Amino acid sequence: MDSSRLPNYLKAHRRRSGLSQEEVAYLLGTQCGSKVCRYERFSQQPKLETGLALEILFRTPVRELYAGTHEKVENRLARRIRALIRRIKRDKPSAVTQRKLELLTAIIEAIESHAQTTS
Amino acid sequence: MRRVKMHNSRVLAIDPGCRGFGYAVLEGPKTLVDWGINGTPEDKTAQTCRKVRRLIKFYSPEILVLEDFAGDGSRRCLRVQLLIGELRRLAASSGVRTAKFSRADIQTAIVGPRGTKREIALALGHRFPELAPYVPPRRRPWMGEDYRMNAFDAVSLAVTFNRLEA
Repeated sequence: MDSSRLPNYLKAHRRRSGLSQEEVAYLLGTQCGSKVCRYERFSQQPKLETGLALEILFRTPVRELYAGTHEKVENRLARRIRALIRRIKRDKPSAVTQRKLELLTAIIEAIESHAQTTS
Repeated sequence: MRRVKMHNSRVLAIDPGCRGFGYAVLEGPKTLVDWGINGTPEDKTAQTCRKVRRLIKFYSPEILVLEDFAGDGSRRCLRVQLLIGELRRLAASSGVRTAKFSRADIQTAIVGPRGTKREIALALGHRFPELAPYVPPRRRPWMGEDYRMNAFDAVSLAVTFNRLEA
């Protein structure tokens, strides 16, 4: 079975806080708890503003609330960064390309060290 | 990217009872992802299997933890014994490994030998504060077992797996 992290941990955090879906919905400014239910069932992604509200509400960073989604985005970004590094290396070397390579390599290293600490 | 695997595998524990079943999803030693009770008013075996299949599909656990009804301290009726067998087959067909623990294993892992169910529930409530408001009241001789106890039993199975196997 797939053992990667779940797309989000909203239900765990909500139940830890003792709040009901209706109460969370009220705090987020929506009509009823069904929207919160859809977020918890991974069938709908919240808007950026709602994501930030959830971060404030549960006092947990969005990257931890949406751990699986974060992991997926991070992996996708890492793949694209590696592709970009290969493309930049084919260009004529200059101070600008050197700077770009340093930045992108540092990001890749940060992603890899974060992956090792969180897994 | 290669990820280094540590002991935070996702575990689904199921504890069937007379009214339905309790379930718990634990990720690593600290994250209680979900827990609760699912009622199965009629056709208990088929309904339980259907609902557990749904839980397996949703949470994609690595391990399904069940009670070892033949082990020390376990007393389960024939229906529940057969249901546990069904759940093991269901897990195998879904590609999920199973683990089983007896009541004695659970007692030893959580509160020590000869601990009562209520002591286990209190220990779990202490460990996971979200469970604390739901710890059943002290059971009197004339009272049946509280329906919430199935959920605590499921959490105790998951915690036992984490302590003894992970």
